Amino acid sequence: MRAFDELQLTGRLPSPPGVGMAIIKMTEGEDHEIGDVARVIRSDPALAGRVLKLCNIGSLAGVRPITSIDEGIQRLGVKALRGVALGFSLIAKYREGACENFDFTRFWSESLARAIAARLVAEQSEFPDPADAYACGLLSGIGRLALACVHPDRYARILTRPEARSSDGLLALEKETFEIDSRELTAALLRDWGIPEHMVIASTTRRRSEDGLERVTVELGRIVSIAAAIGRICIQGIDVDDTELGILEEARGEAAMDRVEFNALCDGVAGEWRDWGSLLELPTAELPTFASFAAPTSLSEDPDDLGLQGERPVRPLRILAADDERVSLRLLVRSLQSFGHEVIEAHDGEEALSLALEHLPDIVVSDFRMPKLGGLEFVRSLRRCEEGRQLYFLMLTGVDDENLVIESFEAGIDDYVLKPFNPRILKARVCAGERVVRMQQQLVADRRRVRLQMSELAVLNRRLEQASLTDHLTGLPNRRFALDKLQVYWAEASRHGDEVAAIMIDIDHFKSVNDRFGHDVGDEVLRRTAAVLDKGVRKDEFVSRLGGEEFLVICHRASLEDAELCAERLRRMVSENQISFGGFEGAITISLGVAATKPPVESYEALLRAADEAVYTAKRSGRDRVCSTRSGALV
Amino acid sequence: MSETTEDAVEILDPVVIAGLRDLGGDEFISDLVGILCEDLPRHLSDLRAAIGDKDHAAVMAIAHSQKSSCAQLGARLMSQLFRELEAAGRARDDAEPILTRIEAEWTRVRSALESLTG
Repeated sequence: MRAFDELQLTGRLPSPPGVGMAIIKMTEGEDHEIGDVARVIRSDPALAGRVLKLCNIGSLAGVRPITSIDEGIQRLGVKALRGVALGFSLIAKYREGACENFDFTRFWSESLARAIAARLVAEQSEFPDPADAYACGLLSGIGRLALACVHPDRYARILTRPEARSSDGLLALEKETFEIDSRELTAALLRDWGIPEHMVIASTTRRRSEDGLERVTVELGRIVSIAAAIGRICIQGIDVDDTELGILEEARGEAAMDRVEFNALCDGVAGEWRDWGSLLELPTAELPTFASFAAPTSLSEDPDDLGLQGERPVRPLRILAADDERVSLRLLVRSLQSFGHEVIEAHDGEEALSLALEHLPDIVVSDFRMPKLGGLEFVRSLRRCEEGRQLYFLMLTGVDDENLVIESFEAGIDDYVLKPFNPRILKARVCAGERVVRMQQQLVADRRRVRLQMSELAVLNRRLEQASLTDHLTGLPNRRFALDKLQVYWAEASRHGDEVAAIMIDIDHFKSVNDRFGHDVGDEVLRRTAAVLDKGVRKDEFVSRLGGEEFLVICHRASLEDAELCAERLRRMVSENQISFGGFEGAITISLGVAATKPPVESYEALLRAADEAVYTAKRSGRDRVCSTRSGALV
Repeated sequence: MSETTEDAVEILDPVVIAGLRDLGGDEFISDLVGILCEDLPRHLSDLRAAIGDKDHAAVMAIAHSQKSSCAQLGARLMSQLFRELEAAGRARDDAEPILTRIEAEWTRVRSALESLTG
């Protein structure tokens, strides 16, 4: 990473101000006292206020509001706190800079939208650490800010290039100019600030090959990329173009959410974005609902109505006419209008290029000789960037320029018309161009339809997957899902040094219920017991049916004592639940076995075995009770 | 070369004028004529200055674009003279005599154009 070292030597890379730096230093090792970290945060009242606010929203909020920083740190987790405090303190320090074409507050506003989106998507997909997702979203663009700080002039020049409009184009330009692109720079900075590696990878790697990455990294990366698409729409507001909407639609597919769910989530992001924007003094905008964004005229619900040609009136073409000669231009524009097209006028090559990129016309008709930027250079510039590659380009050229026609074709024109032009010839050539354009439009519509179907498929897949992960009788998650979840919690707890607890539950005398009242009644008893358990578990407690009359509760970040309290609560609730069905009258009881361990002391299989043994002990000692075990030794 | 006698050629090509009228009627023609009458005198004085400065490149460039504008309006002799002017610029010849002929032709073209639209 030589390029990064060189950037570092400039001394202009962004660095967090005092408080942020102190927090990073303090939380570097494992042996930090929460009280010390809290004291540092409290020394900056604005930062403290923002951290507290973050603790008290969404699923991060607990039963009662958090009012002290110490509690806040515990809730967010020190790693997430490090990222969040870093982001907030950077926002305060880098609100403006020398790079002319880089809008610093807009940059932060987009980062904020992305952070909020990441948190909400994380919550929606039950990712265990929404605060980590928030931090990733906030910091995943920091490399761009860094380039704007280190090379304000050169970066400002890059940003005016047409290629910079697409994110791939910008990355390529950055790499070419600085030997490091903003994505790589983001990764280097985050590592330098001690952000955990899985968050670094998730924030900076696109099109991840999932091989060899931990599940939590892949999941977090998916969340950040969905959030990035939502953040783009927030910052672009009503000016958003079809490309971004296409990316948003793909993100919806990634999120495997149906349109209504996803739009509601995005509207939630927009709402919180405005709240936070005013808190952080960043510009935000009032947005229309995402439902109105996501349904542009050509993207309706009916797949047969996707801007295809047919009986529906065909939209007129949009044509850019460029000529420096006023008489010729006037005649050209009038002719094109008489063919029924919508015409944009440009009076020199430079204006033509910028109008072409702004309006993305279907066809360009341009004079060959123009001041500032000639026709040849105009078409070359267009063909260099993604959007410009698709335009149909018709060059006007004088009779004695014919030698240049070949060169023009090499530069990328599609056809040419000799000047002085005869309007009828021009019309015939434009018609030929229109055929090509219509075919292209059809192709785009087809592709869009495929993409739409893909995202519908993704939703369907998710439903299928859900179905395969659900126990049909009780509606609770099944064994497969439970074991998956346990692995996620397990990995998570390993990283944080937390404990994981498991409660194995078995219904007492279930066989005799079946024998005496029949299987219908047995099934109903299972259903009602499942409902009580489901109601009885709290946040971070995950209940599932393993099979038969056996249930499992996994307690995330819970000590043995926490899990025992949970088990006792469930035992009491079940025993107090009166069931009256098909001749069965009364309550049933359950036996519960609790085990806890601190990974990776033992495997999670060992944890489940220990819980199983504890159930056996509970059964032997009279049923309707809780027994627990730690590290194999019965308590 | 090109000893075209002014009288032998119609000032404005009637076919071209009919085409323009088809496209936008008299209103459009008077619109175009208005633009030409506004721009051409300026180009002519720029040309005179360029010839004085022996700026052959500028002579070529202006003559090239006016050649095609005049042709688009059917002013064939004007267009032909601009073509000769462009060639003179390219050959770095003295273009002053051609420009003088153009200026004379312009007064004829101008009145013909103005009589078109009344």
